Amino acid sequence: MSVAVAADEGMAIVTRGLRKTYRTVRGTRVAVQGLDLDVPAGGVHGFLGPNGSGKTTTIRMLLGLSPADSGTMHIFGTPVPQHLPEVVDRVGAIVESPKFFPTFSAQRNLELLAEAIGTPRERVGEVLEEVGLGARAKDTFRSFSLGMKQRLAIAATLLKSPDLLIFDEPTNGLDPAGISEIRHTMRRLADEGRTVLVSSHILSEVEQIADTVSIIGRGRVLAQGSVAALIGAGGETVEVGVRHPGAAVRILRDAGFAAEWLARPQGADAAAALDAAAHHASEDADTGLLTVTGAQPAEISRTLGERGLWVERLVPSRRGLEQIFLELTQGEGLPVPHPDYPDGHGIPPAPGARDTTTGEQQGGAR
Amino acid sequence: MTRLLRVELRRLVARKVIWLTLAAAVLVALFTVSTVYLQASSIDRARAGANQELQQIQEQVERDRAMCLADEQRERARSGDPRVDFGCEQMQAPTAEEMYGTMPSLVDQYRMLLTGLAYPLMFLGLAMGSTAVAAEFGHRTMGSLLTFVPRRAPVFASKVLAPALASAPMAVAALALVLVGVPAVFRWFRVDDSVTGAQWTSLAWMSLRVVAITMVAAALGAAAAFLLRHSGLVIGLLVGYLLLVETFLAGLGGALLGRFALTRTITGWVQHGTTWETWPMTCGAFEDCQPVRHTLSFGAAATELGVILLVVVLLGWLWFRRADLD
Ligand SMILES: Nc1ncnc2c1ncn2[C@@H]1O[C@H](COP(=O)(O)OP(=O)(O)OP(=O)(O)O)[C@@H](O)[C@H]1O
Ligand SMILES: [Mg+2]
Repeated sequence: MSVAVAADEGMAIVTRGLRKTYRTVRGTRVAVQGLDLDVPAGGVHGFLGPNGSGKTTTIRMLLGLSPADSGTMHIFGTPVPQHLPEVVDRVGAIVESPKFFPTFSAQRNLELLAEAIGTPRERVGEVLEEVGLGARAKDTFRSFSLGMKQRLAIAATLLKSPDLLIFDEPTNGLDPAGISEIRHTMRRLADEGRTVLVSSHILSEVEQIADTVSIIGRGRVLAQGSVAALIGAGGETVEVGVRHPGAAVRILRDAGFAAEWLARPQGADAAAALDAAAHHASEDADTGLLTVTGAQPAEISRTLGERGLWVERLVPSRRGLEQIFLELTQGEGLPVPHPDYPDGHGIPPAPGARDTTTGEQQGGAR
Repeated sequence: MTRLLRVELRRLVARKVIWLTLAAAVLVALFTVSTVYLQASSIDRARAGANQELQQIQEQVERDRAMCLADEQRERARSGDPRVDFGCEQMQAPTAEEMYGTMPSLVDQYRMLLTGLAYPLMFLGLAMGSTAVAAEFGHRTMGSLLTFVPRRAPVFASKVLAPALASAPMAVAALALVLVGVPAVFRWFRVDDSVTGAQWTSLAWMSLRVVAITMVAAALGAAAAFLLRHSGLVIGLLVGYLLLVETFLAGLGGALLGRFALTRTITGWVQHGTTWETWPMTCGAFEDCQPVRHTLSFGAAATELGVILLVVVLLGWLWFRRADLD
C-alpha cells in the first residue's frame, strides 16, 4: 500500500496499483494486476472487460468483501477498506446477483437490512414502491422472477440513498423490457446527481447511457475516459466506393490520409499488389471499397475529384464501443474455442498476451 | 452492536429452524417425563397386582419360620443343648419395596434427568447456531450484509451471540417441562416428592448450567459454521467424534481419554464436578482388585469448556476476518 493518491472529492473511485491474487488448492490466480481506475463523480461509468478480467474482483475489493494484496483504493477521497465504514452509507452495491433469504418476504429482507443500518422501516415501503414491487412486498424472495429479484436488489441499495451505486451485471438474464427498464433506472439515478458504476457485457446498452467507461483486460486498465473521446480516438471512418480503388488509395495516402482498400491482401505483399493495380489501370477498373480514417467526407471527395476519380459512394461510419472493445481486448479474454476442435480446446493465446495462471506467487512488494 | 444483535435475533426468529428446534426440545422434555411416568406406573401396577402374591409369600415365610422354630425346639430337646440355633429369625418376608423396587428420590431423579437432557439440548443448540450461519453462506447473504455494515467484528460477534441467546428460551422451556412434569408424576403415584430448600437451590443452579451449556453449544455451532460453512459438516464432525472417539475408542481402550473426554467434561459441568471409577489394567482375574477413583472438579470442567469455546470462536474469527466473500 505504498502508492499515495491525493484525496480527490471530484472522483468517485480511484484505485492505484491494485492487485489481487486468489489462492486455491490448484495454485494461485492473479485476478487483478496493477489496476489504476478513475471513476469521476456524477454520471454513469461503464466498467467493461471480458469474462474473468477482474471486474467483480475489483468491485469486491472496493466494497471490502475481498482483501486486496496491494495497492490503494479511494471512494470519494476516503481510503478504503481502512475507512470504509465512514463512506459506506454513500455506497449501494449489487455484486453479481441479488442475494437475499429465499424464504423471507421482500419486505422482511429489506427490513432486516434497514434495521442493520438504522434506517426507519417506513423507508422499506418507499423503496419497494420506487422499484415497482409495492404490490409484491409480502411475497417470498424465492417466488420472484429474475427481473423482480434485480429490482429488489436495486431497492436495497436505495435504502441508503447512496451517492455511488455499483451494479455488477444488473441486466444479467433480463428480457429486453427489463434491460431497458434497468437502463432507465441507472440513467435516472445518474441524472439525480449520483454516480453509477455499471459492469456489463451489453456494450450497446453501455454506449447509450454511459458518460465515461473503462475497459479492462486481465486485471489491468486498457483504456478509460469519456465514451465520446474513446470512440472518437480512432477518428471518423468513412467508407468510400470508387473506381480504380488502387489508385485512389495511393492518392489519398499521398494526401496524408489513412486509407485502406478493403478485400485486398494485407501485409508484405499488399504494397506490391497495390502498386501493380495502380500501374495497370485495366486491372483496376472495377469499383472498389476503401475505408478512410481521419478525414472529413468533403476532403475525401475533393482530393479524389481533383485527380479525376469520382466518388460513387461515401458513408461516414462511426466505430462503436463494441468494435473498440473487441480491438482492445483481443487476446485479453478467455481463449475462444477452436471450431476445428469440437471438444472445445482453446486456440493458443495471442502472441504477447500474458498468462495469468502462472502458478507462481505474484503478490507482495510494490 | 446491540442493533446488529437485535437484527440477528429478528432474523433467527423469522426462520423456521428455530421453531423446529424449539419443538424438538419440547418433545425431548415430554419424552423424558414420559419415561419417568412409565417407570413409576410399572412399579405401581406391579405392586397393586401383586398384593396377593406378596401375601402368599408372607404366609409361606411365616409357615416356614414356624416349622424352623419347631425343628429348632425339637433339636434342643433332643441334644439338651439350649444353644442350638437354626437362625430362624432371619427368615423374613420381603417388603413390597424390596420385591418391586422403589422410585429413586426426586432429587436423584432430577440430577439424572437434567444431565441426560443436557445432551439433546446441546445438540439442538449446535444445530441452531450452525444452520443460522451456514444459511448465510449458502444464500450468500453475508456479503450483502457487509456492504451495509462493513465492520466484520460486530457482524461476527452478533452472528455468534444471537443463536446463543435464542437457544436459551429453548433450554428453559425443556427444563421447565421436566422440573414441573416429574414431581407431578411422583404425586400422581403418591411417591414421596419432598425436596429440601437447599436441594432446590442446587437444582436451580444445575438447571442454569444446562441452559449455559446449551448456549455455549449454539455459539460453538455458529463459530464452527464460519469455518466449515455447512451445518451438516459441523454436526457430522461432532457426532462423528462422539461416536468414534468417545464411544468406540473409549470402549476399546478404557480410560484412554480419561478426564479429557468431552462427555466427562459435560457431566462435570452440569453436575458441578463428577467422579468415576476405573479398574486398573494390571488386575488379574482372581486378585482382589480395588477400583481407582477419579474426580473432575467443576473448575476443571468449566475451564475445558471455556478453552474449547475460545479456540473455536477465535479460529472462526481469524478466518472470517480476511475471508473473500461474495
Ligand atoms: N473466489 C475465487 N477463487 C479463485 N479464483 C477466483 C475467485 N473469484 C474470481 N476468481 C478468478 O479471478 C479472475 C477474475 O474474476 P472476476 O470474477 O473478477 O471476473 P469478471 O471480470 O467479473 O468476469 P465476468 O465478466 O465473467 O463476471 C478469474 O480468472 C476468476 O477465475
Ligand atoms: Mg463478474
